[in-house]
Amino acid sequence: MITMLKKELRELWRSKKTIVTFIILAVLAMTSIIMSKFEPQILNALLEARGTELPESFIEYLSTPPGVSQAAANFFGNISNIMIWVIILTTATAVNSEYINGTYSLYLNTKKSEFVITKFAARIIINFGAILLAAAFALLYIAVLFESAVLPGFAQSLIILCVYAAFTTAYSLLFSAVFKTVLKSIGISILFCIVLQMFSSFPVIGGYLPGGFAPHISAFLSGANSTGYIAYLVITVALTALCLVFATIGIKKYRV
Amino acid sequence: MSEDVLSIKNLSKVIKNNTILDNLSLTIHKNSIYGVVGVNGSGKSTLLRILAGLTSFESGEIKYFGNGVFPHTAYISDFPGLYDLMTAHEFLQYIVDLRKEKADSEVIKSAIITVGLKDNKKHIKNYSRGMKQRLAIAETLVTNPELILFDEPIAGIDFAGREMFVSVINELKNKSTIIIASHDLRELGKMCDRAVIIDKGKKIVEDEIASLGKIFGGVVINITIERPLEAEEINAVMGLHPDINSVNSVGRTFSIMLSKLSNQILQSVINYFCEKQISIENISVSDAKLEDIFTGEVADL
Repeated sequence: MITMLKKELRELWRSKKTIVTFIILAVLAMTSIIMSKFEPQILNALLEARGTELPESFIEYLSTPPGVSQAAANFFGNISNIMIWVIILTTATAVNSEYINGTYSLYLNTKKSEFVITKFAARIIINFGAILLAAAFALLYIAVLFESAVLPGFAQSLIILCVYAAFTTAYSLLFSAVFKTVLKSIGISILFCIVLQMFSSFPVIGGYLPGGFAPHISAFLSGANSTGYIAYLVITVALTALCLVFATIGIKKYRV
Repeated sequence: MSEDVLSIKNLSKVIKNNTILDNLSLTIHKNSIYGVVGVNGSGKSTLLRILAGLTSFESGEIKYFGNGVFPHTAYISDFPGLYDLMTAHEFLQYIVDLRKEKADSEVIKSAIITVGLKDNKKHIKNYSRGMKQRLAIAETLVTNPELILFDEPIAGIDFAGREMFVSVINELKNKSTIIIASHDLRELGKMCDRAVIIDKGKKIVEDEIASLGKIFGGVVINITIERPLEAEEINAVMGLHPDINSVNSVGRTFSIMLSKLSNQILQSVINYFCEKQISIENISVSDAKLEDIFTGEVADL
């Protein structure tokens, strides 16, 4: 398994998927914090240049200095949106590309579960690494621009984000094992992601579904306790494991 | 069931109402070199993919060397699966590690040189098709698979590569059970102990290579005359020489299948038409192709 994991990591590195993931999330983290800090000034300058008459409430918003929690919320909001696309694009071709390239025949005597788990583990290492690097950049910029080093709820929010990233990786891998063409697996992964977001907006149950991570992060960043936080994590981890089981079954049945 | 036999019984495969394999039964002895011969679309690649576990089948039974346990298998197709971003050495090292075998760097280097490649930093994506096939063949030298399935292994390889492949097969002889699917009868004749000829998924003939030698060593004389041959004329040509195996007529052109070519046969055929006052428009001699055999004597079996 270690042999396959090392090979996966090397392939991800040489195909530049690792570096692209790291750069995208790191740049996004920096720009999220910078934009949060200077958003009122930028908006003010733009509106003044156009000579637009501003309503009272908006003037009040512009004159309020941006807070640390708002910057962190911006960071988590942006990173979660872009992260999904990056994960889907780098993972939804992981298994079917082996079929297309004919390299799957190298694993005739390998356990299918090991094959799936190593693909998952390699992508988790890269995705978690990129998220942690992005978080480090975000904290650094918050410390520099907002002169604040303590952020309530940041660690819990990061855990939620990582668990959601793991789930996105797992279902992308599942669709890459089930569908024979790259276009189908990417398309179905994107569709599934959209459906997931729709279900997550349902009252009560939405907060327990994998796509319903945003309210938990908002609650933690505002210093409140998030109800159902543990339930959310348990459900998402369980569904991640289920995706991996189905991916293994998908590979076994994936014979023409 | 003997432990020394790979047994295939009544194997059938249907894709979208097309019968790819039709009740195929074969017995392949352990550590033998077995040829599967057929024209394109005859089902030989599907048979190999089924044996590799890469393709399902509708009915039938496969017993791998008696106990039914899937053996340590290497499957090498005409477009072998390789990792483009690895070097040849890295790829072979990965295969060795993956199969938990022991082969040090020198063994890998030696395998790369044996198949006519260089042990350098060049990534596989920069290899030609022939070089990729050579590397895939090297895979069998650094691991010890019980069963090796070659699907058209020399299709994209030059003459020197073919010679190399024959020497690799000789090296693997008695260590692994090797099944080679090909439409190249002559090449298979140099390597295999036994072979089956299949057409439309059905077994046409299966025998020792020595017994199939008549087919593998065949020559064809193609003759175009002024009119189509009549039935009794075809029989008369058949009887001109004992080395004439069959005569197939399509319009004004007909083919004479021979075990071996001699001036005597050629002269007697030309004399026959001169005596019958039938003018010959064109005459050519070529090696027997699988298609000739299928339209000739094998089709009658």
